[in-house]
Amino acid sequence: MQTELRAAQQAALAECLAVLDGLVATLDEQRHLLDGVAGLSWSGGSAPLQQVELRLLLESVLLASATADQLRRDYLAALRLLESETA
Amino acid sequence: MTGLQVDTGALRDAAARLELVAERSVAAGLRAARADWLPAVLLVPPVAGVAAVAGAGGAALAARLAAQGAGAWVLARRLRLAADLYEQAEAFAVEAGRTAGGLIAWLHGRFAPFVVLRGTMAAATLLFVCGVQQRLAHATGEPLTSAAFFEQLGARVNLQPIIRGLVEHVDEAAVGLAGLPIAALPLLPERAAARAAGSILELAGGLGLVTAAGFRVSDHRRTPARARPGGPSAATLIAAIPQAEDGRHQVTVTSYRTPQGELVYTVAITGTSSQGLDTSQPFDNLGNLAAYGGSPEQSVTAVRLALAEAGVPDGALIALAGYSQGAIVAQSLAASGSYRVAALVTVGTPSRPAGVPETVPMAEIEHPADPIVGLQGLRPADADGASIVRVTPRLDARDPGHHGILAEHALDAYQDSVQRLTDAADPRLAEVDAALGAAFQGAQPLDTQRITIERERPG
Repeated sequence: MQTELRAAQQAALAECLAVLDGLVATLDEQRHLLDGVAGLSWSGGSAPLQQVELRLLLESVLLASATADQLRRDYLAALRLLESETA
Repeated sequence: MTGLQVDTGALRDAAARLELVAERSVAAGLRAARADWLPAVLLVPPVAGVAAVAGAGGAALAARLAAQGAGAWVLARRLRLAADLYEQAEAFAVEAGRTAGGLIAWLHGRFAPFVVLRGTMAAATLLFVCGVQQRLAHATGEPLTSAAFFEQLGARVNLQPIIRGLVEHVDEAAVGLAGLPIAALPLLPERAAARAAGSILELAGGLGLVTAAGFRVSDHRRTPARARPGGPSAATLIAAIPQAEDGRHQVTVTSYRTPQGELVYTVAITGTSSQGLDTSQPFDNLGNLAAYGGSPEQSVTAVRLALAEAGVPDGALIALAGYSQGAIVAQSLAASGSYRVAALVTVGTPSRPAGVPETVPMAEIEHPADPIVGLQGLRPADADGASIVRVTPRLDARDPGHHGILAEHALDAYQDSVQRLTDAADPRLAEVDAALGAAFQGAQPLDTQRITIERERPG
């Protein structure tokens, strides 16, 4: 019974980690895209409001990346805990 | 060539990349929202504590990704609009500059600082107005009256996207036109054109320019309804909208009896019928300001009175159609929850259908250069759940109503467009036509009522 529960917990954690891996990859790609947008010649700073909005968007992506990383660490910690108990 | 410092290609490139970011964010947000971050099996020791914290983080991540997608999409739309405006403005400025050499020098000296200090939309607005004025003045060789200016403007420029941009960024444009630096933007209290309309109305009331008044039915005619094979459709609803002329009825109500014995109705509402403010005509510019500003006190109240006069009870099943100001009224009635709305069809609407339940099938027919439609501002990706049908009108050069800045806003042009769409079985009208077919299936038309409402004058 205990073994089955542990196996189910491991499977659930692995599934969450797989989703997170995909999200982290997407967020990395978004950061590159937004860096590219910021690097375009926007007529020498001719769109100050839009530049501010872009910076906010970039900060939001960075925050989302940090959240996803933290989540990944949390789920990995849980997985290791299970593995150590099983061992 | 004109000294403009704007690379519209870079703006469009930025917009394309932001659209990609928006698309990916929305997809990632959906994946995160669908994931089960805290399945029951993880609520059991030894992982319960860690998993509970992580599960809450997963839900927050999904929300952030969705918000990020919306933010990137809006920014992309703003950049595309700014690029459009710059290109139009530059074309005008170049042409005007050829005949009026001073403009180029003025642009060289002034435009770059304007752009930097006042933001993209504000600077584009200034340049556009300046370029258009120069061009028109030199095309005619003499100062223009405002009526002639707008007549020529309407013939040369599609104002709809410009008005959409100004409405969406009304604060930024106002800052630019007032000559203030963009840093003054946070000082402006309102960020929405509709709220600005409400504020104008309040100000007018405060100054005693508008009087609080009630409404009364001034004329009510009832005729037997003509049976139409197949029941009402988007085209018949729009065809029933009264012409927007002072002295005519504003609302047409046709009653039907279903095979189950229930009375159901179609309601068609006219547009602005007087350019006055606070006249005896409820569909004047006071009605316009109130309806656009979200107040039910003027034309919305007048139409409610007309429906009561026609015997349409609260909770009745109705199909709504409206033109221009009447479209705002129809949207307001659909959002009120007072009636069961089978379908909502509008032409030339200046407002978005705020608050209309998702379950109401909606079609909005718009002409691409109708400037009144621009008052909606930018529409979200889902078009507020409406089927937006853009169709180029057939204008009649001999018809005086089909000239000038409002040529594409003419009701008869819209009625012709909707009939042509129906004749061509356009799929964008299929949802509302199917909903109308279901709601009025087997229903027999009883009568048509034409109701005129008047604003009561104090004393």
